[in-house]
Amino acid sequence: MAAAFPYTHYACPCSDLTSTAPSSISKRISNNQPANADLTDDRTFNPHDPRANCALYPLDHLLFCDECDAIRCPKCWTEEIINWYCPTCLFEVPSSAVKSDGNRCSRNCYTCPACTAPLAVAAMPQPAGDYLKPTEPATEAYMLQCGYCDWSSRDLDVLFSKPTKITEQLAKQRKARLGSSGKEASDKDAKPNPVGHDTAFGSLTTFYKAQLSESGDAQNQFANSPYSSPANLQRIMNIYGGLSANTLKKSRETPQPMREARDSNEGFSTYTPDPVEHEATVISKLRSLSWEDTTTTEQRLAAPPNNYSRFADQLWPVATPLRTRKGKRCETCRHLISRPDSKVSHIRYKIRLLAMNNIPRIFMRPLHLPNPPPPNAAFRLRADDAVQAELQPNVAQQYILTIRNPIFETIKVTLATPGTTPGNVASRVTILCPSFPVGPAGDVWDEALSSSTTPASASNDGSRKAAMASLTGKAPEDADRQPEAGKVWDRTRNSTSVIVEIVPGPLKAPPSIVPKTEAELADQALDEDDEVLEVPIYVRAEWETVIDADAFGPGAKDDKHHGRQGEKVTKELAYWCVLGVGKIAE
Amino acid sequence: MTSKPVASKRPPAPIVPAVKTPSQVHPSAIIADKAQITGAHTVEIGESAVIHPYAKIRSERGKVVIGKSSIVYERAVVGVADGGEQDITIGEGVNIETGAVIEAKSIGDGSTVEVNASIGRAAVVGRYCRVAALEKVEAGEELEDFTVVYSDGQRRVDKTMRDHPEIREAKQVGQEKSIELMRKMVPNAAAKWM
Repeated sequence: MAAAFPYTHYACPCSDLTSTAPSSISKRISNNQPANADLTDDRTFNPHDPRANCALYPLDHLLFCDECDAIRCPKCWTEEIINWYCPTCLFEVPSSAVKSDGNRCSRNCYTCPACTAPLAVAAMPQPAGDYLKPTEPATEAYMLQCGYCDWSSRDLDVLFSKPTKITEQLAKQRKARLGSSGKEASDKDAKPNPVGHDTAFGSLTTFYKAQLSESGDAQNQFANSPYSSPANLQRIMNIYGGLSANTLKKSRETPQPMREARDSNEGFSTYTPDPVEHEATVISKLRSLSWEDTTTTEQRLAAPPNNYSRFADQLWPVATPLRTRKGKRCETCRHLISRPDSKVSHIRYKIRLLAMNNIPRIFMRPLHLPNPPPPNAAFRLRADDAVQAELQPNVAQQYILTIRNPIFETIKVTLATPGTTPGNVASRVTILCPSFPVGPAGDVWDEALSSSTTPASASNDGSRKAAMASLTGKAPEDADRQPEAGKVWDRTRNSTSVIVEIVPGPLKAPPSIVPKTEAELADQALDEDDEVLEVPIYVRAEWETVIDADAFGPGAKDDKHHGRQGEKVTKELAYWCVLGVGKIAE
Repeated sequence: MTSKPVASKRPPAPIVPAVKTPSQVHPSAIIADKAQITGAHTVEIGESAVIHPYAKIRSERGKVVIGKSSIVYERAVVGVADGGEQDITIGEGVNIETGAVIEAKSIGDGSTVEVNASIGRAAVVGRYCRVAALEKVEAGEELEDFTVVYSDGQRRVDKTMRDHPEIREAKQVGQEKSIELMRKMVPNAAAKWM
C-alpha cells in the first residue's frame, strides 16, 4: 500500500470475495433469487480481510475484455511471449536462438557484478609515453567498465584484444583460467568446482538429446526433414525404393524407454563434500577480509559462472538476461486484450483494451481542502516525503466522490456501501445521493463548443453575476453551498460528483467501567493497517447500446436478423472498489 | 482575467555581499558571473579551476580553498552553513557536480562528488574517490583513497584506479580537456573577484 491518500483500488470480480453483490442491490437485480440468499451472510467486501489485497488493483493494472464485457486482472489473463529482446542493445533475438543459446544476450551486453549497472567496453589508456611513437597494436587492450561504481574487468585481470565478440573472448579466458586450476583438483571429479559443473552440464545435455532420439519420438523425424509432409516423404521414398536397411531394422525394434544418466561421462555426479584443505584455505582468506568482500546470494545466483564464488573479487561479469514482450489473452474467451507491436523499438500497441477506457472511474477528494493545500502526491521525490494529515475520530468529514464515464453513452450509476465499514474500526459512511446518471464522454471539441461548461443557473440571466460566472467558469455562490441529501453536487460533460459523509471511528474502544478480561483485550487489539480508513463501494453502471450491424457478418442480410439491427440492448457492469481515505489519528 | 498571481519560480538574483570576500583567484581560473562567493574568510581559487553559474562558495565559517583544475558545477554548495568554524580544502582535479553539498574538511585530489550528493561536516574524502549521485557521506566520516560510495550507502574500493596509474592519468587528461571546453563556453567574470 504505497499509494498516497486518497486512492482508489478496483477489485476484479474473479475473486470469490468480490464476485457477490451486496444484498440490497442483489434483491433488485434478480427477483428470482431464492431464499438461500441468507446462507451467505456477509456479502460485503471487507478491505481489511488479509485476502483482500490479492483482489485489489489500481486502475492502471486492469484490462477489459470487450467480448465478455468484464474487467480482467492479472490473475484472469494468460500471457504469451511475442518476442525476446535484450534491454541494453535492443536486439531482437529469434526464439530458435533463445532455445539453443539460452536466455541471455550473446552480443557484448554485460552487467556489473558489483552494482548491476550495464558495462561499457572501454579502451585501456596507454601509459603516457612518447607522443611521437605510433601506438603499437599489441598494447591496445579493452576492458569492461561500469559507469556507476567504477568496477572494471581489470579487477579480474581480464582484458580483451578487440572490442567485439566479447562473449567468445570471455568464455575463452574463463576456460583457460579454470582449466589450469581444474587440473590440480581433478582427482575428485564430483567436487562442485566450476569446471566440473560446465562439463557435467554439457555431458548431460548431449546424453538427454541422445535419449530423446533413441526413445523413438516419431514426431521429430518429420520436423527436421526437408519434406513438407509425411505424404510427400512417403511418395519420394516409394520412388527411390523404400527405407534403407538400418532404418528398417530400427523401425521394427521396439523403442527403449528413456533412462537417466549413469556415470560421469553422461553427466551424472554425486555429492562429495569439499576436501579439508580446500575449506581451510577459504576460511583463512575469510578471516582476513571484511563482510563486503564476500558475495551476496543475489550476486551468486545472477549467472552460472558466479554460482560458486565466495569472494567479491572472483565475480565474473553477468550476461544481461533477455526480456520478453508479452501479449495478453482473456482466459474465458481467448480474445486478445493486449498486444504490443512486434518490432522492439515501437512502443505502440496493436490492441490495448484498458479498463480505464471502459469502466467508470472513481475519485475522492475532501470537500474542504486544508489551507495551504497539500502538495500533489505525484511530485514527491521519495515515498516518505509525503506528510498527510490524519483524520480525527468521531469528527464528520465530507468528501466529493466523482464518477467519470469513459464510454460514449450515458450511464446510470448506483453506488452501495455498508453503513459502517467492515473490520475492526467501524466508521460510518453515508452517500448522500446513491443513484445518478453520468453523461457520455465525447471529443475534446464537444466540450469547448457546447455551452454547458457554466452552471445552468448563471448563464440564463444577463446580469453581472452571469458575466462573472462565464469568465471564471463557476457560480458565485459556490463557496457557500451546503451538501444536500439526494442531490448531485456537480455535473460536467462526462462526470458527476456526489457528497459522501464519513465519520471515522475510534481506534480504541472507550474505557469501560468494568475492567476487561485478557481475552476481551486481545480481541480489541488492533491489527496491522486497521487505522487506515478504507471504504468499500459497490458500483453498478447500466447503459444502453445499439448492436452493430457488422457484429453479425454475412448473416446481416438475413430477414431473421434484420429486425435486430439497431436494437437497443441494456448492458450492465458491476464491481467492488475500495477508496482509501486516510489514516485515523489516535 | 481574474487569476490568482502565481509565485515566481525563478531563483532570486545573486546576493551582492555587503563585505567583499577576500579572495585570491588565480588568473587562469574561470568564474562565471552568476557564481556566488560570499563570506568573510578567504577564498582561494587555484589555477584553471572552473566555477559554474549559481555555484555557491560560502566562506562564512572558514577558509575555502579550491585546488588546481577543479570544477564546481551549478547549484553546488561548498561551505558550512552553521555551526563552528571549519575550513574546506578541495584538492586538485576534483569534480563537484550539480547540486552537491560539500561541508567536508577536505576532498582529496581527483575525487568526484556526483549530482545532488552531500558530504557532511568535518568529513574527510580521500584521493580518487567517487561519491555517486544522491549519496550521503555522514558528518565526521573518513573515506579512504579510492573508495566508491554507491547504491544507498554501499562502499567499495576501486581497485582499477588504485592499481593502474595510467587510469588515473587518463582521468586527469579528461579533466584538462573538459576545462578547455569550459573556457570557451563559460564567460569568465573572474575579474569581479580578483
